[in-house]
Amino acid sequence: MTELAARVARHGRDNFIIIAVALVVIVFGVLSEGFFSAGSAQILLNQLPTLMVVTVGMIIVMLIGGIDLSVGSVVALSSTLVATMIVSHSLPLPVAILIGLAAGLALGLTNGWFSTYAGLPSFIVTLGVLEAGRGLAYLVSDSQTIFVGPSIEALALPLYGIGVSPAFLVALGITIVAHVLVTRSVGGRYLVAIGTREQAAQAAGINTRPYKLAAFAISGTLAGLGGVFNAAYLAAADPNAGSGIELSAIAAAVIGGTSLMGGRGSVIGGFIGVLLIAVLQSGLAQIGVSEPMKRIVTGVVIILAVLLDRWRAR
Amino acid sequence: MGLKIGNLSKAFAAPVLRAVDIQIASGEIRGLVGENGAGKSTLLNILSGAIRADGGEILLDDEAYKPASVRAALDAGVALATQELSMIETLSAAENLALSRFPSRFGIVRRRHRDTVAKAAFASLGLSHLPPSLLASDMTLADQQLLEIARASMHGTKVLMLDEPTAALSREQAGLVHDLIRAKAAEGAAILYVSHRLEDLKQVCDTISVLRDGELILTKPSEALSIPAMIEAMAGTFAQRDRRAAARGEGPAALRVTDVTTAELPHPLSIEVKAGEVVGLAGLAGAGRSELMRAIMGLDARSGGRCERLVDGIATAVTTPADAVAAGIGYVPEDRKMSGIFAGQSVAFNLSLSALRGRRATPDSWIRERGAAIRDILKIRSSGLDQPIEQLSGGNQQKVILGRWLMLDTPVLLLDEPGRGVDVAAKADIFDEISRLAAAGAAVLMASSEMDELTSTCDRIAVMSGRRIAAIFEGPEWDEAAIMTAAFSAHVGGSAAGNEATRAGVYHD
Repeated sequence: MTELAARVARHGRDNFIIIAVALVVIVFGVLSEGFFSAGSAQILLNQLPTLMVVTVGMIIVMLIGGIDLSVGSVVALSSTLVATMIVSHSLPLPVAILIGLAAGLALGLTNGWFSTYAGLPSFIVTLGVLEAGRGLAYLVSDSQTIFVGPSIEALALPLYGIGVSPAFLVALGITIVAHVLVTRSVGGRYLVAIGTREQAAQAAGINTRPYKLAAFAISGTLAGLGGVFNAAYLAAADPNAGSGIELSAIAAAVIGGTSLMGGRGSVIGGFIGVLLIAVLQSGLAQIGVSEPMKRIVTGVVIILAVLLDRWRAR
Repeated sequence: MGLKIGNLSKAFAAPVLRAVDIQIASGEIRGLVGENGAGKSTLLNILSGAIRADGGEILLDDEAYKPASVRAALDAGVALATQELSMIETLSAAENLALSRFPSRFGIVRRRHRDTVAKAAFASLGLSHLPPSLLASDMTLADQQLLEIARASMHGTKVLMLDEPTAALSREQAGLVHDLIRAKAAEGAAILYVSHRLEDLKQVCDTISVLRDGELILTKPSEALSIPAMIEAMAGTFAQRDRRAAARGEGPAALRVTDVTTAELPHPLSIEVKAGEVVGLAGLAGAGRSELMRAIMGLDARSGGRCERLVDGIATAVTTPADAVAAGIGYVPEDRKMSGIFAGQSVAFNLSLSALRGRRATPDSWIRERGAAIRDILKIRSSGLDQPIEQLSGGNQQKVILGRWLMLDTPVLLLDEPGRGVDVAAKADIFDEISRLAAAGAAVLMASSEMDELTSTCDRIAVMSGRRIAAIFEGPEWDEAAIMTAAFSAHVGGSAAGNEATRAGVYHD
């Protein structure tokens, strides 16, 4: 009995957010004519892959009690690199994508090394990389938007029959795998242990630093992948891409039950947080709310969602 | 076979271990005592791989043993159950148990296997009521401590080290730990058992070693070593005495608690403490003593009743911790590390914090002067007022937290386990000071699990059981058997089954 109760209690916070999303969807469904159409759902989902993968990485870093503010710049760097490789160097798409991911990994390792082995606060390190990464993206693209065209756009176009894009499927797969790894793998449990109380984790014989480094490396690589998705969605690389995405990712993570203090987090919860924000924004747009009001409402909803969640969890 | 430590030395700023030689045979239970700062923790930390020795040699089963990390020590079969709780609150009981060695296949945790192992381990320590999926944050302190011990004793441990394993435990739980220790020794493990509970050591250990100032003073079979002899070896000299000898005047009521209830304390509780009086709170783990103190202090929201501070018969209601401090009530919490000290801050900072209240600017000179005086009164051993508090031994940290209230001559003190995790000499200093404060007119309410702390210091002892006040005894003569009976009264004659049901009930709520 108690075991069951404990399980229910633990899944309660996820369920609560699902209910919140359902409510938001219903409200917009009632307010707006076309909101329930399959077309509008497709358009919505195919906008999400970049934020989805960035949020997964953010949650993994937040689990160990860190933060990765550099993800937006990594998105831009990766996306401009991929575009340059295809357009100026005529490299095949898969090679270009690998280069984009490698750039993300490199910046992630930089974040991780300074935060872990040099012992600097990740907030500061990733703030530095946010600035430097954006500079690199401008350098690579010569501060111009680079048009790439249909070769990369295919990733973002709906697949015939299912309506969602390959990018969305990949992002969904990554979300599911990451959720399983966090909840079921030894490494995932270690991340939670480290984020809760690093000294206790060390006393239990866990060598904590490689795991922390890996968390930042994963976040960087996923942001690199986010850059690829962004370039695909736009069929072009914009050196200003991804600006502010770190805040959306943190908001989604926190709405989904991830703690800023570390040790507590849910990848699936973060995905639902992404959905909540996206549904809210597109719903508000559809019922004709102005851009300033949209932002005000979104801000209020982010705080309310977390407040209600806290309140429910006592 | 066993553990052979030869010529071991370690220095931080000053030498902490000086050429220590200890041999523990397989199957032997060795007690280790010493004041805080005597070098016990350093010795344990070297053996557990957390720090490196400067010199000397360790042999484990006749092979050189020089662990480079905690992991290496665990792999060699040497495990430490620490005094500081080392549970990960966001992980379940079963996960915490498995933390050092998750059963896994391809990196994925084998959860069923993990839970089976956990259930077996829980059963051996009387934790059968724990669901393996219960989060550590929802466990009682005592259960967390038992889980920590279970973790250290798993996986073919050859050397099991326990640092104050029973400090947070009730008598019957301590008995379970002792059974486990005996069982591990019977399997051939060498046990190193550090505790300030000297009677426990005498009962459980085959041999006892005494450390003082980093030197091994003596090692003797426990039946050949009396407790006064142990204490003398540890501290040089110590006299167990009745601290109430100092004449105390019976003053007017200083603190009145009337029908207080909280979420944790369903039954209305009332108690009064007079100026110049030390009232003890006795009881088993979970009896509600800490909860009562938190309720008085306003740390837990009260659902009913009131707390009043009385000065010359005029009552001031106390609702929040700020009210309490403003009314002259000081509190020393049970969990020193989490709620007592401000780690990373200096002794001066830790002393002065409550004294800053209501002042626009507190002159540094005042803090230094007053702090230095309190450091002398309480015999706080630190390099100065600027030393970070976490570098002090547990006993000295405790003195600083008590000293925080002395800075302002706080007239009412709530002390929750002031002697916990404190060495014998520091304990004597602390209880002497408590007694002196009462003689000077302070009203003290003090919870303790140690009978001698209560009987030597208190004027009255209130016994809590099942979150009620079961009885109040008047000194100076104490009927210890009656006190124990009262402590067990809510547990159906103290039967294990009744107690089990009560504790399991906590988790059902």
